[in-house]
Amino acid sequence: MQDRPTTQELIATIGSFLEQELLPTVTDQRMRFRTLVAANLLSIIARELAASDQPLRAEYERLLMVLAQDMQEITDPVTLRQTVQALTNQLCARIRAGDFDQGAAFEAALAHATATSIEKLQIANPRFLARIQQA
Amino acid sequence: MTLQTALRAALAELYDTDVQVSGLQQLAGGASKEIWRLDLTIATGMQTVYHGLVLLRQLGGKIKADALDLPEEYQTLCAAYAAGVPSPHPFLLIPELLGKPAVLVERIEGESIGRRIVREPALAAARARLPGELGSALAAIHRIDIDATGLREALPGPAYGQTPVQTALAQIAADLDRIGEAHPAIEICLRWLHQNEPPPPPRLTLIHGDFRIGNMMVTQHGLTGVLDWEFAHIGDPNEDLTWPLIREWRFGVDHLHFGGIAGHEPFFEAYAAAGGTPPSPQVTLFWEVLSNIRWATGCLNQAERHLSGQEPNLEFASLGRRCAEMELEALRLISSTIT
Repeated sequence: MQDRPTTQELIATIGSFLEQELLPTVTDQRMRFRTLVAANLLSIIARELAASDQPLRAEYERLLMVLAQDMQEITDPVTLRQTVQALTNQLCARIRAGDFDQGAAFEAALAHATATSIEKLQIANPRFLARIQQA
Repeated sequence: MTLQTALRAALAELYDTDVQVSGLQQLAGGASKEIWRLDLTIATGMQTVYHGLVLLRQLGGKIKADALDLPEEYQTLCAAYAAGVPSPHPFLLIPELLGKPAVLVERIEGESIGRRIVREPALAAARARLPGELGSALAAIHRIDIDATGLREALPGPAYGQTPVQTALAQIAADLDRIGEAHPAIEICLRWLHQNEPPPPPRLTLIHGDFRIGNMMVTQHGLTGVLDWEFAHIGDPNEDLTWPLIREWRFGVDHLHFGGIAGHEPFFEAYAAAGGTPPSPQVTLFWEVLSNIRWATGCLNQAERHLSGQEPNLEFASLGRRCAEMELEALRLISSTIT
């Protein structure tokens, strides 16, 4: 086991260095903006680490439903990621071929894609997600 | 040779007299261009003439494959300026400056940063005027004779035998395939758009291609210039009419449909009063879905510029994680039509 600071603690430390120590000393507008972008990317990493593979598992289960395929127990995170990637490629090819144009198939694909976009935004931009869900 | 020396040499040759370039300073913004401000003083015998200018330099990469090279962008700006569209006065095209094409335009003062324009208290009066001014300006852009100006030949347009929508959808699909990322949300939208395409426009027009708050120079008195002509092309006027409406260009003031400053009604009304035909609510929604997935794909393209190693850039990288915002918005718009 690594010594402290933990990964999350290191990220938080770099984040507060960027925003509270570095940023006030930066006068160039472009560099100020890039510093804020960097701090924001760091907070994305923190949320992604905290969520672990939970969103990926949910996505996997939905993909199996939409594609009507049988569940297989996957414990290894790398395999899970590769499987979700392969199933998503399959889904995209079939959507483009017109298999999900109408009725229940269309609504199932729409629901899956909506849930996936929401899961991505919970990591990438929860503030945007809160705003759009209020609308 | 520095930029300053090169610029001075190019201008001295052109004017056949001594010129002074001063105050050269790089400005923020520009994903595919460098933007500099500078002052030019030309001493011609009796008198000394002063110009406050902006220099645009083309960089390697482009957001979309069909972004214009600077000479075509300059030609478009010249046509728009001549037609009375509020825009920077074109000053000079330099085909090669330190190995890259460059353009000089007269500097117009004001603010162009979107999040300031929608929030700055000092710009409240401008926000009240902008929808009308931008509606009239857009009608003037769409009235430009694309044959007399040579723009039909010079600018990209829909593929032969295709509507502008069909060409746009094919471009998005091609971009996705090239990038090689699977995006079910965008695929669903592409199919929905194919199946719900409205009738094509009665005539093709000049399209600005990035007509939105953030690409407009604004003072407290309102619009002073339409900027950023690099995505100009020939197409369907509804593209320009709906692009400024999408959530991304409301800069967080989400309830104001037109650019975070007003409802779309005053914008559409001004466009109609100037002779244009604004889209129905149904057609507006169709184009908003298209605009969202186009920008979603644009984000992926930008991230790809970084990820491919061609142009390592923090901001490009960050855009890859913003794609989902436009995906969710497009899906929500489609969902709103089926309940």
